[in-house]
Amino acid sequence: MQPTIPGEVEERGKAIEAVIDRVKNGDKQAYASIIRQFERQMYTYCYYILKNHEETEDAVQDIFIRAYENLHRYSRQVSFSAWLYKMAYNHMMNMKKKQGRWLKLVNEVKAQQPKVEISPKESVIEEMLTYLTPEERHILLLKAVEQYSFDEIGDIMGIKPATIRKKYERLRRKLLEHKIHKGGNTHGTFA
Amino acid sequence: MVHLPEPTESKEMDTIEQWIRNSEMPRASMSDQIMDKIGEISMRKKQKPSVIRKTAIAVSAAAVLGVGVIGMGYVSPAMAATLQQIPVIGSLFSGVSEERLQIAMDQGIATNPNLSVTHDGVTLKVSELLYDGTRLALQIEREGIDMPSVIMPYQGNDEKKGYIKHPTLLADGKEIKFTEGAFGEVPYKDHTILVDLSKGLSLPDQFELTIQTEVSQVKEPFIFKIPVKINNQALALKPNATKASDSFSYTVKQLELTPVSTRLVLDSEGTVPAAPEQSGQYSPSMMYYDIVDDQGNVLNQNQVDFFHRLPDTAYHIDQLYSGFRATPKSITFKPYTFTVKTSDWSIVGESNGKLGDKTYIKELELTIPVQP
Repeated sequence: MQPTIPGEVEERGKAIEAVIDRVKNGDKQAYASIIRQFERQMYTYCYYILKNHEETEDAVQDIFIRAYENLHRYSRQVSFSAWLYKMAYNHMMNMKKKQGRWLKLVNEVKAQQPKVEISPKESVIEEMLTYLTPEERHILLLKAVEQYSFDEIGDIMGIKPATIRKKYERLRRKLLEHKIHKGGNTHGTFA
Repeated sequence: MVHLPEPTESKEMDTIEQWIRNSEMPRASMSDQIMDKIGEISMRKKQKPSVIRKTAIAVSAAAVLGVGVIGMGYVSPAMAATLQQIPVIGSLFSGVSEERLQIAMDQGIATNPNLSVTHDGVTLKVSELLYDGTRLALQIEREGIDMPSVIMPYQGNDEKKGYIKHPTLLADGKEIKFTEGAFGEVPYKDHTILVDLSKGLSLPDQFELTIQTEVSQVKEPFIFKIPVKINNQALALKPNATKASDSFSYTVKQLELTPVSTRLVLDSEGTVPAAPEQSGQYSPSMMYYDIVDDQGNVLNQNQVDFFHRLPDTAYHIDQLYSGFRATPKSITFKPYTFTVKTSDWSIVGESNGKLGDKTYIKELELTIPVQP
C-alpha cells in the first residue's frame, strides 16, 4: 500500500471539489486538471478490462466527456472519484453489452498480435487477470487502482459491500492458487 | 530484477494491487484531446449542425491527436506558451510584420472597426477585422460582464447573463457560406471571441458585412454593419509543379499570397516514404509541407491536423500559412513527416511548444520561381 498521510485524501478531495465548482460555474478549462488528475488510474482500470490500447483510449475519452456532460448531476454526497468510476464501470458494462462477443474477440485479436513493449509486471498482471471473471476483475482493479473500500466498490458496482468482500476473498484465493500451480513461473524473476 | 514477495497472502495481494496501481499510461496526457472533443460537442449541440468545425487559431499550430481534425477553442498549455512569446498576443494580426501590416491596412485588409453596440448593460465591440479575399476573421470584445467565460460551456447555465452566442455573418444580406472555420475564445485576451472563416469563401472585394449575435439573458440582438472594401492585390500562382521520388509525388496546384496569409493547395499521391526509424512500431505520419522564402524564412502553418491512423495514399491539401515578409523571388516547399508510434498514435519528439520531430525528405524538395 502506498503510505497515506493523515488528512491527505481529504485534502485532495477538497481540492477536487473546488475545481468541480469552478467548472460548474463556467470555467470549462478547469476540467482539464480533473482529467490529468484521474487519467492514469482510469486508463489502467479500463486497459486491464478492455485489454486493448485503442479501445481503452476511446473509453477513457468517452468516460471523461460523459462525466463532463453530467457534471451538473453530481452532488457531494459521494466523492467525485467514486462518482467518476461508477460512470466508468457502467460505460464498460454497456460497451460489453453492445459488443456481445467482445471479450472473446479482443482475446482473439490479442492472441494474433505480438505484444508490444509491455513490461514484465504488466504481462504478469495481464496473465493473472485471465484467471478472473469480468466481475472479479472489476473488483480487483477498483480496489487496486483507487484503493477503494468494499463499501465504495459496492456502490460503484451496485452490489452489497458484504458480497463484494466475499467475492474479493474468492478472487484472492484464485489468484494465489494459480500462483502455486504455476510454481516457478510467476514466482520467478523478471528482468 | 523484480521478485514477487510472499510472506503472507495479504502482503502478496498488496503487492499485486500496487503493481496495478503503479501501471504507467503508455501515452501522453489525453486532456487536450478530450477538452477539444468537449468543445466540439458543445459546438455541435449549441450551434446548427456542422456549420463550423473548430479549428486552430494559432500562430504556429495546434497539435491535437484524435480521429478527424480537431483544434482550437481550447489551446493547450504548450501552445499557449508558444503564443505568449509573440508580441501583440491575442491580436488577429500578431505575427504579421509591421511593414506587411501597414500594407494590409492600406489595402483595407486589416481594420479596427471599433464598432460597439450596448444592450442591457452589456457592450459588444468588433475590435479587429481581417479580410484578404481568402480568409475572413474578426474579434468581438465584451464589456460589462465579469465572468471569465465568454462562450457558454457545454453544461453552462443558460440563465447566466453574458455568454456570447455563435454569430451569424452576412454579406450584403446573405448568409456567408464557408467550409471550414473557427469560433472560440481568444487565448490571453479576456472577454474576447474570434470568428475565423478560413476555407470555402466566395466573397467579392467589396460588400456590407453584417454580424448578428446574441448574448444570454439579453433580449435584444447585437447587430453590426461594417462596410468592407479591399484593394485586392493577392498574388495567385498556379505553378502546377510536380515533384516525385520513389512511390510518392505531389503537385503544387495553387499558391495565393496576400499580405497576411498564404494559401497552399496541392495534391499528393502514393505511399509516404518511411525513414529507417519509422518502421516496426513506428510509422511516418501523412506528409506535411513547410513553405520557405528565398531568405530561408519558414512560414507558420495556421493549423496542423493530426490523424489517428496510417497515412492514406492520396491527399488534397488546402492549408493556410502566415504571410510572407515580402514577396519572395522564389518559394521552396520542404515536405516532411512526423514519426508516429502506432500503438497509441503519439508523435515522437512532441514537447512544450513543439509538435514533434520532423523528418524532411530532401529528394522531394521543390523550388518555384515567383514572377509578380
